Amino acid sequence: MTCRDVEILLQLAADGEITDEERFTLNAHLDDCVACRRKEAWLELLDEQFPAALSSGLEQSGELADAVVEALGTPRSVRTLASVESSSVSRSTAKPARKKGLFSRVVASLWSRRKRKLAKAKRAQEREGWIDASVSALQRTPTSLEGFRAARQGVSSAVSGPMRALKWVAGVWPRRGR
Amino acid sequence: MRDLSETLLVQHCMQGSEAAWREMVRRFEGVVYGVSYRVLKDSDEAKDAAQESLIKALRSLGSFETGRKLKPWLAKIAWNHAVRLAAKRHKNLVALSENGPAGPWSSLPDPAQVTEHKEMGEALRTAMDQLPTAMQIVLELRCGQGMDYREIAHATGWPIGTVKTNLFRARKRLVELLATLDGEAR
Ligand SMILES: [Zn+2]
Repeated sequence: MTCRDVEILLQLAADGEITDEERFTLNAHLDDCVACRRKEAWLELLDEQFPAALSSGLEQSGELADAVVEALGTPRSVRTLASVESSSVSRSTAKPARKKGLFSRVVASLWSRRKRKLAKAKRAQEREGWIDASVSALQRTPTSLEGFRAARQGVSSAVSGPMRALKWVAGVWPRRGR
Repeated sequence: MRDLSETLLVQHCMQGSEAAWREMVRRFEGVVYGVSYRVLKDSDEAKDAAQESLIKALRSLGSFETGRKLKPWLAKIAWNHAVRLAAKRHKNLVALSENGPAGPWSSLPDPAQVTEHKEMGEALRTAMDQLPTAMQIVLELRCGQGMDYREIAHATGWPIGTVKTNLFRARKRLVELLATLDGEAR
């Protein structure tokens, strides 16, 4: 075991990712090596100092929460929504329709809210010509449709307008490949 | 709300509870903002991006797999969103890594001799800002947010080996920096 190997073990130890066997080897080396004991002490000091180094300007003032709640709760958020909806997060694990009961009702209500917002966003985009934002939102259409099916099972009421808009969106708008 | 398990918190959020939304933001704004800031390098832009990512996350809770942890999932959303914004604004997004293994550590003085730790936080913050983004992200997620290698790999989409390499290099640099500081101070 060289000091070089020990540098790696020291970091694994700091991250709680060290095995018992490695820990044993590490301790044996540390007993005999001043240089590596210093490294260990410096790593501990770094850990201790880290919180100060990481505070990069967010006071937990509730300001973000206010903005988020406002965006989620009011129609004013159409524009924000359009830009947010258009960004990509992997949704490959999305299986909103699998569970029944309370969960599926919750999913359904979420999807129906999302659906209304999408339709609204689409109208706004038509008005203001945000074609690009819409197209990238549509790149997720297949997943969205699964969700909408789940929503339809759960909620039978009052979505015909947005639904129509959505069908139009899903069926008519050409999809652009990535 | 503060004692609510993640599973219940998710359920309340999906039912449209404002209190739950607020609790979600309170618990996770740190990680979401932290990731955004490390990518965008500007606190106002990072706040906007964090807000957008949180909204996005709350809207896509349907795709969150029950039983997983929220933090890595939110970190991933924040990371994807911030990277996309950075690309749009043509921010220079790193050199994600430097090739080859990290070099050996230089010999260090005894930290027990260091008496003045006061300026270290400030010096560290400056040094952090100068590291490549990939190193900043892994430090933020590991040391700031307590995420493990696997979770960081999930959030960033990097292999675990890349996560480790970046983390080890970053620590080495920062430790050497602290040691130098101490040398200069005396
Ligand atoms: Zn050694």
